[in-house]
Amino acid sequence: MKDKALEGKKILWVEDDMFLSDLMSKKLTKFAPTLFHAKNGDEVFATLEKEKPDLIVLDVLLPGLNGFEILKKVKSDSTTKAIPVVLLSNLNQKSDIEKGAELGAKKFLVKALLTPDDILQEVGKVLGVA
Amino acid sequence: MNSDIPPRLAHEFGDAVVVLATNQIGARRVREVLSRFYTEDDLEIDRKGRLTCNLSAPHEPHVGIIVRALVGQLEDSIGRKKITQELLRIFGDLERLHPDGQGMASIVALLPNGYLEEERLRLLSKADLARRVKDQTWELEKLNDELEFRVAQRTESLQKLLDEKVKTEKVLKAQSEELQRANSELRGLDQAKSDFISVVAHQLRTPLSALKWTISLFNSGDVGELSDEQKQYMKKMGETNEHMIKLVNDLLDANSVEAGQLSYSFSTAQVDEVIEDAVEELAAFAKKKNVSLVYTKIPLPLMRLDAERLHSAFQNLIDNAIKYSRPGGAISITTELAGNMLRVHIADQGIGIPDEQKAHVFERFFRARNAIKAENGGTGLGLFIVKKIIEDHGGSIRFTTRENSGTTFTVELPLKK
Repeated sequence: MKDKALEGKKILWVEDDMFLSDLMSKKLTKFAPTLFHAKNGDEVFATLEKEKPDLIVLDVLLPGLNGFEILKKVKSDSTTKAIPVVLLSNLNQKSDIEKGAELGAKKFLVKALLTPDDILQEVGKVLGVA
Repeated sequence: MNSDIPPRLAHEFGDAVVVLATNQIGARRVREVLSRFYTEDDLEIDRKGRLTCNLSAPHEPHVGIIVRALVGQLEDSIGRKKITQELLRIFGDLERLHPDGQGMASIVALLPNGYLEEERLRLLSKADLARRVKDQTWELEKLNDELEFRVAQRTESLQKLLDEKVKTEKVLKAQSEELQRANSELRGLDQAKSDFISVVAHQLRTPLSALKWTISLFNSGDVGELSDEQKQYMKKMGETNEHMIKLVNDLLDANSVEAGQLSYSFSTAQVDEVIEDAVEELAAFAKKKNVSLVYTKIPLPLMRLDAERLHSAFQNLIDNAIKYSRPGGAISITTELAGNMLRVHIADQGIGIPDEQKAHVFERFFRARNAIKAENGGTGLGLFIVKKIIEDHGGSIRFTTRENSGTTFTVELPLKK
């Protein structure tokens, strides 16, 4: 992926672990997207009321609503259901992956198996810029 | 014999009394003979010289003995003819008393030859018949008793068996319930163990991911350039971290295998590319161990496979081959088409697998004794997962090995699945 490839793209990154979130921000600045960050479901829906991101990267294990519940809500709201969602979690049980696909996630990415570069590559593919 | 005092053989059968002689001298002689069988009290001689023998005590067979003795005594003095007449009279009476001939047979049997031959025969056959009837009756009764006994015995043993059966059934039912309880408890524990592994592994993955990402940022220069020495250390750190991630992944995969939860996404792909990727990834490791790693490619048809899973299976097998090779050893990877199957051979010249441990190679957590010595970083989960992945592709895996000279793993995969 080229530098600034994501420029102009709005990405909502949902991650409750501040350190991981910080590491990804560091990586993303190089590609210049508009980045919104949310730590939980409330922050996700507060952001979605004001903004219309091009992509949501969604963790699964979160305080309050979990990623699957957030995904379900996003996909059942006509104003947000068109936004592609990529699940990014450390879960990768068959049942988790199937559940994600069933609820309409574009991809299921496993944190421990991918570097930030790999993740960006996948995100880029979904946004059609990679 | 004294012929001047002829004794008379007399008899009176009523209440078993026999009057035997009629004068004193004759009576005394007869008593002398009979005293061998009777006490003095049973043998009375009255004033007229008549001898009375009380037969209430002894049995009739004794009468026979008495008669035989008397006949012997009297034959000379009164003559055969007279004795025969007397005997006929006695037996006539006896026969009336015992129409079945009982007792008389033994009397007649004891008479000297020449007396009552005809009667003897008649009585003998009559007695014989009676005896036979009696014997048979007895035999029948005996059989009957025996049968009854046996029936009783059988009934008893059947009852015992029945009781036993009821008891056994009760015990079995209790045991079955116990087993079911234990089973569901075990299932619960197994589930708890699986959940525990799953939670721990996922929790471990979060900090491992953070490390992986951090190391990655350092390596890609996103957080400033590193010196060569720092790069070296960072590389080591990355390898160590990857090793930990692999351990956790294996643990999770093994856990998924057990729960039937290993996920797959099948697509049509080139299997030789999958193998080649794995070989290329491990080329550096082989070089580091001074092991030659050669993959001989031949054209292969497209196959239905889960590229990621199959890649990890081949990676595991090749990684093992390198790990358990000695410096200077060679590993060859070849493929062949056999009917509608594809065979992949991964042959090394390494330490081999000890004969006695061959059977356990694909067991979870198993590591051969020489493998532990050669390399202590394994979990014993690799081949357990590899086997599952190959089988889930409809294939099979086997190996030939010789300790200290090498192992060849052969993976067989169906071309159409």
